[in-house]
Amino acid sequence: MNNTRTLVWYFYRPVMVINLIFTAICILDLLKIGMWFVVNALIIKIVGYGGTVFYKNYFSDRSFMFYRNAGYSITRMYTYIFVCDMAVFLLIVALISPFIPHHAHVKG
Amino acid sequence: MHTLKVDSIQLEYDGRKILQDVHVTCRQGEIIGLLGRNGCGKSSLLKIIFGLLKPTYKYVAIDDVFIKKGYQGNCMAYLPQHNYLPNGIRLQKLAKLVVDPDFWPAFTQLPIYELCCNKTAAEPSGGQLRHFETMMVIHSKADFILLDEPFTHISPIQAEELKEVIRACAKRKGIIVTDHQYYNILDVSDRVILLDKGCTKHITDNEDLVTYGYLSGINR
Repeated sequence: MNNTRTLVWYFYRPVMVINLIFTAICILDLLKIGMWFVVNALIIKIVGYGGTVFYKNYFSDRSFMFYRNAGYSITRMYTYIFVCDMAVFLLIVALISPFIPHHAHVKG
Repeated sequence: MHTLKVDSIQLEYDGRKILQDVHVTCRQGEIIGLLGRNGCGKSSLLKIIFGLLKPTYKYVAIDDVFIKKGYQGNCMAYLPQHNYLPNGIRLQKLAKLVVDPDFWPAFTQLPIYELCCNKTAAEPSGGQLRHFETMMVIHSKADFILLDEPFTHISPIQAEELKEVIRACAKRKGIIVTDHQYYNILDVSDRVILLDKGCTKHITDNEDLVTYGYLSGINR
């Protein structure tokens, strides 16, 4: 289990900044626009995951062999990092929900 | 003792048959040398066994249990031709995740470990990193080890050291090794298989390599 946690961290580390940027965009939009934006925020996060897969497959696919030699498939590694990232995002949303406007902001 | 069985592999590219009649059996405790000309499909065969390349047909099994992806469950470890360690992490930390705990004391005694353990993948020379990666794979938890050109990019002294390590680890593992440095393969292998025109030829005498046109002559 310790090995799994370490491997997931090593796999996630190069793409952490990308995912944090997408998380920050979603959180700021939620605070500004309101809770009704949550579905759009999830779509933005999924687009971020697409960017993560593209980045890793394009720039660091050679290191995939390291994870395979440790006994883990790359699909499994992606599943672990996206589930962890989404869990952290949903936790942040839950924590800041009292500060998120629950009604649509109407100008005028 | 486990037995790896590779049977009836068929691989085609654009209708051209690369592999068509491939049969390899490797038991734990055995070193199989795989020889063949450039482009004959040696690396492709190792990738098929490991589960990286999807052929038209394959049967890969350990103890008659079909294996779809060799890397799952630490059945096999594979040394590719390219460097594969992620950058920015000390090699010692990476090695701990792959190397078998039973082999860890022997692994840490290796000169290459002492040289590289506190470096990241970007710091050692290409040859040093290649040697470290090879040693990591050989000392991994897997029962079967697939080595694609382990003698390339390393010095003759390191090649001798590598052969000793391969022999020592082969007491507990099955190893399939391929390289163009045929003399190292002939030296380290218990059995040699030649890939010729997509088929495996089991070599019983080194003269067979001349007969099949792989070598022009044997230096004695």
